Amino acid sequence: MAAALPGPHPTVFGIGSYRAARGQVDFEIGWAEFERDVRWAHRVLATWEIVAGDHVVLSTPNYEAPWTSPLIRALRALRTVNSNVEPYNWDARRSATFLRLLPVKAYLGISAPVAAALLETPELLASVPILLARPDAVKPLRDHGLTPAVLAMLGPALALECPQRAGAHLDPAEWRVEAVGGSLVLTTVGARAHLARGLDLGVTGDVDDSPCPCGLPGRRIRLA
Amino acid sequence: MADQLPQVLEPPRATHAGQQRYFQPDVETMPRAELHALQQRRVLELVPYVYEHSTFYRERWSAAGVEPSDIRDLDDFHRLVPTFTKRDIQEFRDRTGDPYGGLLCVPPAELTSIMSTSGTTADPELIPEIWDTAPPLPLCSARDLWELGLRPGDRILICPGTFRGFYDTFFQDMGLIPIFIDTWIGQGQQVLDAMRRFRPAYLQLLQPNVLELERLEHATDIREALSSLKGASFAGQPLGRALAAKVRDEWGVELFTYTSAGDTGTAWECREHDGYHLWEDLVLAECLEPERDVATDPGVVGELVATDLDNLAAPLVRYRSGDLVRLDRGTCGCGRTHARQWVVGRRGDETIVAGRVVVMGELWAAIESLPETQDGMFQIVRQSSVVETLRVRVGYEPTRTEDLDELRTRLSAVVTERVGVTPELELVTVDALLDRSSSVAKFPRVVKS
Repeated sequence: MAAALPGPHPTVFGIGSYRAARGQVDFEIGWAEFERDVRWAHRVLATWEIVAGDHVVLSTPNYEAPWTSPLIRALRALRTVNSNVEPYNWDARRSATFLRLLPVKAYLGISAPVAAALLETPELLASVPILLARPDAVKPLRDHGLTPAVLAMLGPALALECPQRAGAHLDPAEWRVEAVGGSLVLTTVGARAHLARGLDLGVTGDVDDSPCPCGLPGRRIRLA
Repeated sequence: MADQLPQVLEPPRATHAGQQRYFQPDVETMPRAELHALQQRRVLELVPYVYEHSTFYRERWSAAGVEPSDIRDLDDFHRLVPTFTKRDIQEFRDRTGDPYGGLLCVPPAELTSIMSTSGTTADPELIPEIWDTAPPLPLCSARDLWELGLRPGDRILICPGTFRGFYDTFFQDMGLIPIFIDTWIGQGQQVLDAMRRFRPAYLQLLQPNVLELERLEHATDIREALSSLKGASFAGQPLGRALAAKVRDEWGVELFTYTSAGDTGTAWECREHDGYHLWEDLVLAECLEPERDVATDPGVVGELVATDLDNLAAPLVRYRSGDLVRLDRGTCGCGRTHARQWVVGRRGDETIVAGRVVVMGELWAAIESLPETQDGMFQIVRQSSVVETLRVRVGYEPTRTEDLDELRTRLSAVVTERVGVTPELELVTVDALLDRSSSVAKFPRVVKS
């Protein structure tokens, strides 16, 4: 059946939406910028040494594809074996099933509700070498002695920590982030269909311009 | 590693005439004889493949004295290959420690993904997959969404759930433009806002979504907001007949309900809304008596037994799905030749009342025969499958009901006549019955209280 599919729209990957101070902002994603995002995701994954055959659990609903689909397609290109779980509390049993039955190398996008449920059986997550957690899940995971890294969707951009866990990277060819009065502000610098200029991300934090030992370029952000 | 850049831009692979009703005309309207030959060819490839690569099948078939060389045609397959249930997989896993229950036919590292079943009643079961273009479950709905009316260039609201695979690549390969908005339960106003902003041709609805929209009716013109839809898919807990009529007649939305194809994929309604199409080039569907490996007579309710025809990772071969269905292999009004199923219940839902077997489908038929209870919304209330009294909670439609005592008397009579047991009836409104359900995915037909 796959051979009969008509093929993608020539220019548009899709249309996303994020919440900003002035309300809901819709943004179109073109294929060229999407391809660059996949390339960047590939570079970040390389710092984590995720390789073919690794089992990766992904917790990201379909509507988060503007942020997480580049990561997922980079994983597919790496030929990892991926499993999907929902980020809602009622689906924690699915995460537990994968963690119990299979050797999971990485769990990407773990949410605070699911983390809380899984932490009732601490050994489940303790066996996972790589945890990329949503910002509100980081503290509870750390409180249980785990070492999650940050995965954050900020406006139209995705920020990911590398194994240094010393601030999240955004592709500097696409985005510039500044701290203005303690708030993080985003501006598009790449050739993207949607241009954000001085977008208040609604989160506090700071930026770090020092080179990251992981080798990824650009400044990092630390969420407060 | 950084040099291995993924390919995300693909050229169109085929062209489709925009007005053509069928997505794959040659397959969808294939004469039954050709379909039978195709199934036989695939089964004869599948049998030695799984025997060689799956420890579960090899062990099970050997115990039954069956070898691949015994299977020379579909008749041999139906006659000799043993059926199995989900419990058999679980027992194999518990005994051997194999997380895949012995079904996996390839090394784990060769898999593309490992998805899982819904897990409504127990821990989810693993579903290993190998694919190139789009995940198997989304992909198998391509013909159905084409039938719904979707065409390249249409905008669609993305469905939220991902546990059977991501949908973005599939929708994109259909030439559609996904709108990535949260449409999960609790987002009714956001859905309406998105409908107005983007004018999409499609979205997925669950029963709680419909109830949310109904609650917003006083403040917004739902019909206008949904007017760009070519159709909406619908699955899970059923709508009452009255609510379904509201969606169709007052809101102007054509719902396309879909259901499971015995855990091998999905089966959707076409525009005729006369049963769910099983794509028989992908699944070999049998309707067997629940307790014996014997086919039911045509049109008689039995258990759906499914064989994967397109799955090399961990194919199900004669899998007893637990779904009690009626099958029709006649050509549908839409012109498609693939079988249709009507799901009437789940195996295990049978109740033995004072020594007499009460089958869900029979009870269902009795209840929906009266206008007040024609929605067929009911639950058997029992502590075990063996009871002395048949207790049934039945949903009635208040607008069609004048006298509850009179309804109780009439309903008791038709149930007694149909199933041979006089029930103890609890009458509640359909809405009250739906509100009792804890799952958005399935409506429980058997409850303990």
